[in-house]
Amino acid sequence: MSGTERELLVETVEGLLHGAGFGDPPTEGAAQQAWKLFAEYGLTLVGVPEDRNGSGGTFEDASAVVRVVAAEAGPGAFAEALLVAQPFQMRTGWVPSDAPVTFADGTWRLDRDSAGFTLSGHARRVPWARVAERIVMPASDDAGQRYLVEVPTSELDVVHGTNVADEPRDDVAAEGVILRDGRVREIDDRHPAADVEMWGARARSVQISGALGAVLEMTVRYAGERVQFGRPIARFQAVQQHIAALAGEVVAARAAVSAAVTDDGEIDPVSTAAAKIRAGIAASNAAALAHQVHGAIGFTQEHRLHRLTRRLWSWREEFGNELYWSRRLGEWIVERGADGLWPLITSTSRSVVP
Amino acid sequence: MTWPREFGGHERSSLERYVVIEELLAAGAPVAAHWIADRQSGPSILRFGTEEQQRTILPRIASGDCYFCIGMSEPDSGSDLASVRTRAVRDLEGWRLSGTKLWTSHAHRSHYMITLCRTADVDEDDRHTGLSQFIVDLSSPGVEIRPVPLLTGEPHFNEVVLDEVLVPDSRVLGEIGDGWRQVTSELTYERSGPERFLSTFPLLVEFARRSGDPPSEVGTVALGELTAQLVALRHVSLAVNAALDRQEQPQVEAALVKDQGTRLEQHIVEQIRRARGLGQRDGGSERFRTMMDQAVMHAPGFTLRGGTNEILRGIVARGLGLR
Repeated sequence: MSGTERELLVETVEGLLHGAGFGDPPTEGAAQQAWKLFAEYGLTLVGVPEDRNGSGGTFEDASAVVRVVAAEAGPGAFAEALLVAQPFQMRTGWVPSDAPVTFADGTWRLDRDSAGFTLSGHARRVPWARVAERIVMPASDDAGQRYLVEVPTSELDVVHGTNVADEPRDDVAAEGVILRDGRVREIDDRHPAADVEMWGARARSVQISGALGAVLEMTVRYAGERVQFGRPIARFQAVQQHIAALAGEVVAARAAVSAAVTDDGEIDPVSTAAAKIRAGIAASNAAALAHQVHGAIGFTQEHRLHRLTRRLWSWREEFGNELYWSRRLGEWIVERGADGLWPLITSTSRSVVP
Repeated sequence: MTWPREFGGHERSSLERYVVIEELLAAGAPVAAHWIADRQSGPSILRFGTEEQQRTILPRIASGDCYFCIGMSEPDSGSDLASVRTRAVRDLEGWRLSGTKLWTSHAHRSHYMITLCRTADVDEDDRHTGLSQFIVDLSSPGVEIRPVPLLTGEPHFNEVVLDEVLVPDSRVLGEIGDGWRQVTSELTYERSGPERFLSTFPLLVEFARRSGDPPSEVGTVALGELTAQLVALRHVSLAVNAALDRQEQPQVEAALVKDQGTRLEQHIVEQIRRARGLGQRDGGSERFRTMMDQAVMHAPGFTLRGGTNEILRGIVARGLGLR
């Protein structure tokens, strides 16, 4: 997609969400409505090639859609579908549909007998499971063979749960469920589903980067409008310093996330870890600074700020928080040795340097 | 590397220069002598200098024979640079400069100092007018350089006293009265490069080498977190470099790189210092101990030099429309 086409895409998504005026909390109904709306415009299939029933565009274009949804605090599993489940489906040779889909990172066992495949296991806190028509998950059999499985949600047990932003995070379970309308494919270590946590972490990083931009914008606007002591609070140095620090967090996080989002979606582990770490740190710092500048009104339910900050607080924890990924990245560094540290850092710019 | 061939340059791209700079810094190579001349004085002469100045001075910088220092701050003018009082007065032979510059890094080893002076009285409605820059030959009569050691005892800063120093017309840099605009442009070059976040990288490498077998969990986490922060900032810095290349003036982003980068340098020192507490009791290698001690003592300077972070955040705030 060209620069102008990408801008148009972003504007379309913004326009749809503004027009729909989704409130808070993000309900099932709102999520279904949002999905239907996006599907009408082909937006749920951005990143899927046109010859596979999709709307075309790259993984980067799909990330742009997800970023805008996050910035608008929109409801629904767009990140999960566009940045994880659908890429998994495509790499398995399956054609994605335009029905809501999500993915479940858990412990799933597949057994095979004359009747076919039987699924057992569970996954906790599956994003938007109750709204998804189908769920994609990695599974293994007793011999250690890996699979990618896609199951209609109706064949599973779903127990509702939420995260701090009131987004659905449902526990999903199956006990010897005979797969009737599911799809199963053997996969190996090279299939992205072997690294589902990384794909999930990257998706959350993209969402965080979207919300961060919106938080900065909202905070700058508030500081320019709120008058105390006879002038907008933006005129006070203390407030300016806070907002400048906030801007620094946003810029650094967005740069790290941008580098992890490749055209074809391929994961670079170091870039992905760095993105989730930096985005997580930024989420914490930015939320705190924004609330401090907004004062009491920003701390209320009626003000919009919490719609973004509660998402930041939730998303930074999911698929590994900054300490989890710091330890993993640290372990890779220790493995490579001290002399490998600089090459590891410079390896992250292979995709961005012209 | 990026200068025109006619002045001794190699007409390489700024990205290629960036790559060389970051490799030098990552390796802890000694770069101080040529740093200012290459990074900002030379580019300033390229941008604002006369053809004669370019022909005479630039090749000597390119050949490594000519070092520059920065004559901006004064005892009473640090963050408030527009308040400088060093005066340049025209007489029959040229310009007479009188005043005192302070915090002049490496003046004691430099050949030239690009000096910011008042050439017209302060206009309270616009304090930025009436300032000009001069290329001062530090071997001129009337120049006195006094070292101001750092708290470590090292030579670095200097006080440079100018007593009626004669500077010919041919050594006025740019236009008389245009000093503020020139300085602002020069400072953008100064703010955005990899040196703003790589000063403590050699320490991080040494920590990776010495963090124990196996390293503590705290040490491992610190390595990961600090590396992620470096990765992120480097991407921003590369983007700023690319923007500079397109003749843009990304002042906000450059200020952000410096604000974030210098705080990261301090954060690196602090996290390694703490993690070491879980390491060997005898303090590990002597080399690591020395690097650690030096880093701790130099750390306060990171967020002061080249513009305090508070001032830089003010620039960001202005760029965001808050001021």
